[in-house]
Amino acid sequence: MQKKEHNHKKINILDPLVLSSLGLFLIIFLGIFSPLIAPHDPNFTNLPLRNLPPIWMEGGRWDFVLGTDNIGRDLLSRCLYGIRTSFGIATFGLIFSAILGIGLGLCSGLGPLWVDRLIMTITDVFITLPNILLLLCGITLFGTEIWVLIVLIGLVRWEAYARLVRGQVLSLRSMGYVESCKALGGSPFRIALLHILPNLTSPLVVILTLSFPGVLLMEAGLSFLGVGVQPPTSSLGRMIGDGRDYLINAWWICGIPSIVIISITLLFQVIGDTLRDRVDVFSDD
Amino acid sequence: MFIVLIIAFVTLRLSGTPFDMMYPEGLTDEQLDALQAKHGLDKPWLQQFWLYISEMFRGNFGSSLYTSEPVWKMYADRMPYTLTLGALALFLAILIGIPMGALSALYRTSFGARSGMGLAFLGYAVPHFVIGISLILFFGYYLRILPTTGLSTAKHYILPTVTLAIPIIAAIARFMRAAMLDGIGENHVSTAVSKGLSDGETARTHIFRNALIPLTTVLGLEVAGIMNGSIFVEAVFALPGVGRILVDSVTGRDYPVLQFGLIAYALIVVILNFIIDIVYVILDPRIRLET
Amino acid sequence: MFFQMTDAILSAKDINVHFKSKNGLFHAVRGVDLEIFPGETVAIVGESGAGKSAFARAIVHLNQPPFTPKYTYVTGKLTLNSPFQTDLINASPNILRKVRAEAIGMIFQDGLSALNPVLSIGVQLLEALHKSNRSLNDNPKDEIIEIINTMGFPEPNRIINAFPHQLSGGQCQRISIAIATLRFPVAIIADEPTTALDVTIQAQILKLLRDLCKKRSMSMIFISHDIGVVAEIADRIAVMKDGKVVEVSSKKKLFTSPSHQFTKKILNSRPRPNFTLNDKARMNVGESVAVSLEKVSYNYHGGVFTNRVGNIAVKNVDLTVFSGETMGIVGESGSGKSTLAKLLLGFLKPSNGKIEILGYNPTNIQAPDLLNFRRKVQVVYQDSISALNPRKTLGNSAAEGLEIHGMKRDLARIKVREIFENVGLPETIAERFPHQVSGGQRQRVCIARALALNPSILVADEPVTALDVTIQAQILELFRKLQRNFNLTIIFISHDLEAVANLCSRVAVMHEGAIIECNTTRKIFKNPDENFTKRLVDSIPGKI
Repeated sequence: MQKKEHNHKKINILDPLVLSSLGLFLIIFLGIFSPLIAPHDPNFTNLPLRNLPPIWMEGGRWDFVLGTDNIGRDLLSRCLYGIRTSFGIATFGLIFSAILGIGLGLCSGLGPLWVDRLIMTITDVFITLPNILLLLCGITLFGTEIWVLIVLIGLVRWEAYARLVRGQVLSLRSMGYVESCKALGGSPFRIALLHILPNLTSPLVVILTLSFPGVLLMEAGLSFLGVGVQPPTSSLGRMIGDGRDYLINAWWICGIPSIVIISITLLFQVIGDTLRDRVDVFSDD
Repeated sequence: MFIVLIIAFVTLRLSGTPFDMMYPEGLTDEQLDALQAKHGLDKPWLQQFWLYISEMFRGNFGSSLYTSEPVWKMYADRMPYTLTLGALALFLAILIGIPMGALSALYRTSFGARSGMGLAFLGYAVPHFVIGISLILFFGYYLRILPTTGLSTAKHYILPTVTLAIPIIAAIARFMRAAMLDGIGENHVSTAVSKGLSDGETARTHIFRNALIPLTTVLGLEVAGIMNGSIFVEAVFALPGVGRILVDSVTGRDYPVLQFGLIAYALIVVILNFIIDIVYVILDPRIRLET
Repeated sequence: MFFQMTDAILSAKDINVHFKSKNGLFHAVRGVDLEIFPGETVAIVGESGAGKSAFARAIVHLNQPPFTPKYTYVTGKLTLNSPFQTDLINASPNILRKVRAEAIGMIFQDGLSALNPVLSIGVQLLEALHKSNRSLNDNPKDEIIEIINTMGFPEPNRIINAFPHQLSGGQCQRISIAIATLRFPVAIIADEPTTALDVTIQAQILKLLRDLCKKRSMSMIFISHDIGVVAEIADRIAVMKDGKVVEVSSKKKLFTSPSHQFTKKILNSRPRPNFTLNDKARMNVGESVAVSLEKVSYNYHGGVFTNRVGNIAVKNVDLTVFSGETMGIVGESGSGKSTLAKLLLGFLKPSNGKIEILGYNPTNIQAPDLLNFRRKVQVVYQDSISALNPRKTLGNSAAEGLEIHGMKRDLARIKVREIFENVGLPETIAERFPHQVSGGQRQRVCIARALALNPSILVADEPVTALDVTIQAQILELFRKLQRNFNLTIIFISHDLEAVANLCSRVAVMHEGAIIECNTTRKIFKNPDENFTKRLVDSIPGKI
């Protein structure tokens, strides 16, 4: 608490946390408002202007700043829309899996033993099975609509949060202040709400931040394989997948979306790592 | 663990039995009926499930809805490539990742350690397909020293193996570093120093050895990571491995193929985890002596 | 003393230790002078944070683990005179290794964590043996067995193949001592070597150390917070406070005529058995029974809620506590004291037997009775840092009980201020967070939280164990005062017999889950019936 106030007082612009958060907000902003910002319709094909290089290379044009793809679509616009799609799917997938994981983790930590055993058995199974394979099965069965992707990504990612929440709940449960509250006559509801949840938030925030890149990459990977988001919707993974056939002549078609993906995941990674270190320091005090 | 996973196949396959989803479109009803009868899809699902199980124990895993090739044969043809690739990548990752993590923990202020961990950080965040494409661009097109598609010669294995290994190297190095840093602060390390052991001896017998134990569990999880990654790597480098069949079967909704894939992959993961459990027990006397 | 006839084997002059941290330099040791003579045991006593450990570890450069960026700075003059002459401050890594291997051994507080969990005891001893200049027998294994034998193990052959987690805390500490002494060093540094041990084991370890020092005429620097332990083992005592040595004198002189104010204070803070209290207190005790336990058992396999923590079993406990009485429950670790506390609070259900507290049966009690019961029975725990929610202000934590029982927030705050005054806390502390105040203050907040509901019974589970001795004395005094003012029934659970004897009118002794003896404090201490109780009482270090 004190630490947070302390941090508020002097926001250091060179702090990696602040810097990367700013970068991330910029990207999210661009994604959300992509329909307003994008200079072109992302699906408008312009065959005479295909494979245009980005502006800093020879032959680049100012109206297609990042160049065009093999059928002349504007890469900048497609990237912006792609950020929107990928971010959207990843965010909702993460929210879905977080709700599922936190809920099941709470059940597991607070509920009777047989519930705990059951849930832990299921998480063990999920942890050992390759995620992508489960996703592929799901897609085969339910198709590639966006909501299906969201739900599927949620379904394969929840177990990490369930484990974390369960572990934390179990250790918090034996903390003196939880027992004291019980001794004061506090209801289980009060204990969960006032004592357990608030102390769960910081590790949860850290793990959610750290796992966001994974979710994003999962969607990108599926789209890359051609089984994720379907055309004409643009997605960063799909752009890379499509562009790799033109690698020799026009590397930028898959290079630019790659750079966008990497920068997003790196930013998240930096934020997550920094947050984790800070949280550790806080708990050590 | 074994039982758990057998339950997993069953439940997963149970959840995956809605059949209308997967027949190829554009067939007449008679053709469809014939096809369904051929693959035993016309019976009630419980009976189908039973049939599948009993057939499975007789060694019959069904055949592709398209090519009518037995699925086990499809996999048997391709699996060696995937397995070789996975094993090579894991080997490479262990070979590089462990010393990298260990050294960067011991000499954490040095420039080498910092840049090494920076690279590991990067390797962690970049997806397989981007790594693969960058490697193709650089070594295949720019330097033109390595082949980029297929697996016909030993040289062909280099790029896919490296691509598959990089994220795992990063994961192992990061984990190893953290485990070593935790280990350095342990009380028994102070005891070791107080015995008069040199820093090198202390690091070897008391820090490094102890850090390897939790690493084995991480390796178990990384096996699943290799499975995931191999699908992408095979796509990027156009390799004749199992990943290819899987992706094709998804787009074609070739249900028996996918089903077998799930079983095969899960089986591999289970076997490897079993091996890792044994290694763990050998390495850690605390577990060995409890049972 | 006669030791000073010869030359010191180790002399420290104006030693300063600084630790670098994010908040700047921390001056842990401030100009310490100390000489160690051959064969003598010098004890360094002081409270937590006094710099005793930092000073002792500075001698062999063990203040920071290997492979860490340098954050410890030691200045001054530190010379080893025997077996070879060395300037320890500027010693090269090679010389330092030689000093550690041949001249100075080190024993740490927690025997279990001081041993590598994945190597066998034999391997760890062998490793130390190879570093020594001791002439090896033809068979080092025989040598190891002999060493283990001298440490008092009955089955040395079994021990060398064992791993640390298979040994008890006391056994691990014996192995640590073996590692430190097998190279026949001229001196050993023992850093709180018995603090984590039960009192009977502590007595054994102290005897082992004493015998070893005598037999080999080895010197020892013995660090402890416990003046009683020090009285058992030291020849000379150095008292440290805030990084400085405030007094060095022989044991006898220190205990009979301490010169420094602080020395007097810690000597007076030692809880002493208070037998006069018994009779007086017993007179105040009415005949009304507050707590009664009949044949209460708890075993972790039974019960509806199988617990995941592994509570220790309790067997056939009979206990009666009268209202207004202070009942001590004493026992070693693993004797089932804490399980008993949880049974009293209704957190665990007994597998057999009957519990009745103020007419309630805590194990199957329903709302609204549950709330009434909770109001009347309160608890204080040992670890005050985990007993307070790190995200709540101390005031809010203390007011929680009042809010649960329906008091308005503003009123509760006013009431809390009043209680804070009762437990000797400044009002201003209410706005602060747990990690910003001292351990003693935190424990007072916990007591305030328990008292806010005006309970009849207070269960105190090792409430003073984690505190420095001067703070301990204050908290014990607080308990006494509260009992007088609020007519509390206190069930005081502790492993510390002296604290129990200081506060309680009657004592129940627990051993392996059962109450083996329950009697007045005087009887327990002067003339116990059971052998185990006698052993327990005899093991109290530095009895006065």
